[in-house]
Amino acid sequence: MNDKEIEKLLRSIESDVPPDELKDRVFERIIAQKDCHAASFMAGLERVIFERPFIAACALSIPISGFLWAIMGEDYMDIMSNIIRPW
Amino acid sequence: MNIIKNLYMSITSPVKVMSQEESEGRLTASFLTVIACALAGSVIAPVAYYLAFRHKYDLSLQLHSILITFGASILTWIAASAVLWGLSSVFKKGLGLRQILSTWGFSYTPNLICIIAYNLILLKSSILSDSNVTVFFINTFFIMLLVWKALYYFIEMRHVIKTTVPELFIITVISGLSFALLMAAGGAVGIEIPMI
Repeated sequence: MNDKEIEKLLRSIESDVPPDELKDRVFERIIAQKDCHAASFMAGLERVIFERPFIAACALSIPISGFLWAIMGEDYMDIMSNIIRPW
Repeated sequence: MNIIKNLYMSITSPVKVMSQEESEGRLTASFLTVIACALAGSVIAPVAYYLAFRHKYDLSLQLHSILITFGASILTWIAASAVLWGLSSVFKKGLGLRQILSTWGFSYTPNLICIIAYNLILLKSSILSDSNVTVFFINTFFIMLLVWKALYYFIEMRHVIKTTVPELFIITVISGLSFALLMAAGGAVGIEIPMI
């Protein structure tokens, strides 16, 4: 947090806060802002991937599979029958 | 109750259950996931093959090989967790082996589904001669399980071990080699679906 942000934060805290509570208020605001940063960092793609990995895996597997089919052609269809075979 | 909650959350929102330092019933839930995998791959699958194919092929159920693959499945989980714990200790992450054991076991959920799907297809392999669309969806399903497993690995790295990018790279290279050795060792004793 740079000087400008600290100044903005101090100005944003209500003026009627008693001086002995000011320190607590500043800490509360800083922690709240940190949480916001963490939330925005986890936002979007990373959030889906890490918080809902099953859904992310389902969504990713279709284009991966399609891509492999496109480059491997008919060989792609034989992968499983080559792996899974009784004795 | 905590065990069931942990098991449910390990599928629906694994970060919440894995990122906590300690959670009641988590180690048991993790262990149960691994045990379910080991039972499915080492006990239920061979018995199912035997019952399904005993008239077609010359098969016999060998108790000692069942016990070896079952034991090896559990040991590879402990060994894989020990590798991750050792690497986290190298980077001074301050984690206990218990914490790795209680989170890495959840990554066996895709393995469990893979074992079930693999063996069901093996029992009805004619499905692989169906249309290309059916085979495409079967292949896609197995790719989904691989991706899901990889995501559990990255959750372990980012939210449990809390690696930086260079640490992630180093740990991935070393653990990748170690996992390959464990897979080879597991394959040598008869584990068909890698249990790491």
